[in-house]
Amino acid sequence: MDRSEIVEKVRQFVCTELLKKPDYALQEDEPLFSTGVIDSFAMAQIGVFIETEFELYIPDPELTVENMDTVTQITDRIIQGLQAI
Amino acid sequence: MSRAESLLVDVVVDRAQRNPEKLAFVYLEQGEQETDRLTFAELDLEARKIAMSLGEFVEPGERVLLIYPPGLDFVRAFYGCLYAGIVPIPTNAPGRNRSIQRLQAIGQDSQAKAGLTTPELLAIFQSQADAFPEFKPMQWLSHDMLQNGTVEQWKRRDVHLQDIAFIQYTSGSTAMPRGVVINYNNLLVNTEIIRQARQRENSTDSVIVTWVPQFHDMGLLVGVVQGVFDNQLSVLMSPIAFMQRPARWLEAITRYRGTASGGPNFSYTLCINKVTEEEYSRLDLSHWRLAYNSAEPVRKETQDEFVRKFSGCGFRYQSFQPCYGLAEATLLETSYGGEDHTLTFPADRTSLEEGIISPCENEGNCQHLVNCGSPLGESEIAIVDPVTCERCEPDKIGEIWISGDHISREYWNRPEETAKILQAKIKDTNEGPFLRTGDLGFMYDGDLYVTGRLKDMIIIRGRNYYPQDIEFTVEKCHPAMQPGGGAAFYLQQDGYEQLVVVQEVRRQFEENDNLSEVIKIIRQVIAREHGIRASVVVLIRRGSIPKTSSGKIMRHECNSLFLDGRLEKVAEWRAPVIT
Repeated sequence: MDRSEIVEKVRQFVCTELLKKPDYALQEDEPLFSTGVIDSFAMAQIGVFIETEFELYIPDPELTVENMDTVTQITDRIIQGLQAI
Repeated sequence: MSRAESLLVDVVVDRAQRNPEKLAFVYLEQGEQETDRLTFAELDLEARKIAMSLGEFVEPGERVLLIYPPGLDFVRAFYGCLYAGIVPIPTNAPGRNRSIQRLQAIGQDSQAKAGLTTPELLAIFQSQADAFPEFKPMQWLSHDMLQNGTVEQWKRRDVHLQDIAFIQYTSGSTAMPRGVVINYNNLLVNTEIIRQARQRENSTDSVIVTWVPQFHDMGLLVGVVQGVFDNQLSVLMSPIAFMQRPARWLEAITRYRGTASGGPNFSYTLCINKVTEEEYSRLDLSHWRLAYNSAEPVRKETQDEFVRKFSGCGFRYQSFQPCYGLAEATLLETSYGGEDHTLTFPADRTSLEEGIISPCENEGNCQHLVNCGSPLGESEIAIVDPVTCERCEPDKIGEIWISGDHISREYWNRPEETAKILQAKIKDTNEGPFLRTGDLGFMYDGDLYVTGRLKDMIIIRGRNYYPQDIEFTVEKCHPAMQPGGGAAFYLQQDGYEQLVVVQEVRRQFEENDNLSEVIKIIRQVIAREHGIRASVVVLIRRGSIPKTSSGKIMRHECNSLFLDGRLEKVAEWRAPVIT
């Protein structure tokens, strides 16, 4: 799976499931949590999304606003995890 | 207050004189067929007979275990003990090995002089006497041995309000049961509290219908005691008959025009899920004016669904009466009996997890907490920080502490627990004594809202989650989930708290090869609804989750089964961090 595919999956998940705006033109580097667009409550959903979609488990201490604030950051973390397998 | 109104024995004698022919109790075998009944005169007569016979074996003030299957013989024996001035201890008749252990522990803890039971159970106890040395000091009496007392010789004993009426063992741990001592004054105050709660329903034509076990505070005080105080018929059936076919409960209400009936929240859920269309067509619930809901957190969703399903049979939303109480308070503490729809507090879920109460702003993050009403009688409630023992700020969730004359004065032979739990003082003001309930909640506008059990609370990274909320989310998320068959708890691993969810699967889904998809859905819904990831999800066989005799989920027991690898697994998912 190349990077653009992962970006697309992440973007789609964030727009449909978290923002509830499937047509929103979300930028890759648009902050999600730090600006309050999404409640940190949704961090758990991102965790489960990565588990079920990429079969990759991100431990709780890494699921933080600093690490996972943008589509880019989330994607990078997924790629890093997939390479480690 | 006249004597006839104060002591339970005098009340029975008085009823028997004034309304000898009035029916006091009916028992429905298998929840259907009327196989036993007692008028007030018969109850009085049989209580005298048993009292006179029992007096030959046991001295007044001594304790006797009542080991009876559901039925009116229990009622006869209970009143027989009171008539003799002997302290009855209602217990769960053993069916499985576990309850025998509990019975042994209760016998030992209470130093019971005798065990009173049916001829069938007596034979079992005698044949296994060697296996249970704890029972050796006890005398075994069979119900049919107590039928020869000369009733004319019975004399009312001089009883005082501070004398022990009975001892109620709580369902605490199996090994260390605690006996809540209830005296005649507790009983009297509790009766007045119940009367206040049922004001809008109470009349001499009222009929109480209950399936709740008789050895349980709710089953005993509502099903065996209150109808006598209030001069009414009580219709009893066994909890097993109800669980096997929940419609039996509603059929009994229909047939006897039951006005007061209820149970824990799950009993309403069972009716929603199990009553068939054909059963439904025979129901008339229009006389049911007081549907109490207590002993576990009351769910608005359950009440809404129950009304949707049964309003066609004449059930009205206003009949619902959420209550709060516990054995240490004899039975009842608060009750909401407004004529409006059940009031709820729309709490913000995120604040709730931080232990703070604030109204939610969007429905998606809202949890509707049910109003359990204001303290009844002269009792009082304080919301107290369970750690500092100081009063909480009004917007904070704390432990529910209650005071009043219905609160038990002691646990039998347990001075330490008595001081700690029944005679607690608020630290900064030294107010008290209070009963520490171990339940969490808050007061709003003078009414109590219960959020959960202190010891069951799941604390993960400083946030508080109530297991019943997560269990509720899980059981609603997929048709394969068996309702009322889930447990959520947490465990510590590598310094982190991890959420574990165990859930029963409906039989027809057991062989389903898509259970891993079901687990995915469970994980997604928990994350979405509660903002937390489950680290373990175990699907287990239907009927295999540990429950108490009254049907409550035993989360700690479930936790031990999980750790020992003894759950009856059908499918499982574990995060890689869980070893």
